[in-house]
Amino acid sequence: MKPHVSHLYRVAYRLTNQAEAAEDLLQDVMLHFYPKCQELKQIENLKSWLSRSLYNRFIDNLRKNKRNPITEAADDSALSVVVDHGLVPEHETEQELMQTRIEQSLDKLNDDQRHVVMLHDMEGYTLTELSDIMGTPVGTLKSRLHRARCSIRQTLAMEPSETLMRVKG
Amino acid sequence: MNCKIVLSELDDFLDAELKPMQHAQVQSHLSQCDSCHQAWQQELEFRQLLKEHTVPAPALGLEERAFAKIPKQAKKTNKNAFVAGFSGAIAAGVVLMIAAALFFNPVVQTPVANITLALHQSKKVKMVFDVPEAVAEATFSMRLPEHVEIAGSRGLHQIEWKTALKKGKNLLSLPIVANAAEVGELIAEIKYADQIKRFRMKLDIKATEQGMLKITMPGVA
Repeated sequence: MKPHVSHLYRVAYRLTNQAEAAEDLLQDVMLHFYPKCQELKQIENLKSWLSRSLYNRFIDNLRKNKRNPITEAADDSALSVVVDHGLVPEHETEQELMQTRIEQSLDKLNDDQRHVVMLHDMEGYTLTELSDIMGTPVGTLKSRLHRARCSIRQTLAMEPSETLMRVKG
Repeated sequence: MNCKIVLSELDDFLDAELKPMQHAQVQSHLSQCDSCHQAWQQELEFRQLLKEHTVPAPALGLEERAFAKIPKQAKKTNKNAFVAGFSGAIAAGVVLMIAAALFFNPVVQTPVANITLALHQSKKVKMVFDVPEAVAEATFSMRLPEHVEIAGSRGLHQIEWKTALKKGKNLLSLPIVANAAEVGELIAEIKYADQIKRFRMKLDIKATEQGMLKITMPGVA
């Protein structure tokens, strides 16, 4: 399981958008499956399989937490202090700005759209893998992905080329 | 295949979701049609932007923490006694912070100076290692004076473990607790290949009237 820890953390962070919550989710999966290590060796695509387990646990937690309006704030105070130290190269600043803009555009999506675009376009899962992970037909995922990308483009003011709009219109 | 069909299939083309024959037809059209080629390039750039979106690097020691809740008897590896202490780190507060650029920049920034904590009450030491490039395997160690220990691990004054460092900021949070009002020194080292970075922190621990200890971190060497 160790080789998958970093990747699973990234997926967990994509889903929860919070470092502490991501670690909790990751720990939860590790705790559950570690005693079954020998069985896991038989699984062909362990990365995808563990991702599905993590996703299912995330959804379960989400359903439970919807009943509880109180959420814990992340402690980012340490990192915000660090940001004030040192010089940041110009290209990194631009990159960070783009990161922020993309995050803002992701915030405008619904959960389903956000998850599929993050796991497909950012983490590189195929639609077939995602269909297995999320338990959703490929066609549905395609529609969500299409709508998500359109929304992100709009937020980033990156409309498709005039040609594309003219032909589609 | 005309432009309308090609553009409507562009998503599937880029997602490798087309059948081989359709894929070849779209590819052939893109090589002949400037406007569709431009739309395809624009879409590629957009996808690249999304692909480059990253999540913040996890705090140092993710792997150790990921397995920290697993009962010890179930573990075949990771016999490091540090895990138990570190897993409890989440709950405490901030004691000090160091920001250091490792390996590629010899300059160590001056840390925060004065920190106060109550006797026998754990608080977190936070260290941020800012690395310009990812490091696959680094060894981190920390030594505490006899009267200061890792919170939750009675008598543990020294820890060492291997870890990977992500590019950028890596946060280590470690709870410590002082058991006596004596002067001491905290030494933290991070090793990579043949390079060593050492931090020395003078701990000036004094009991106050309210039973508080004041720990002063005058600098690092």
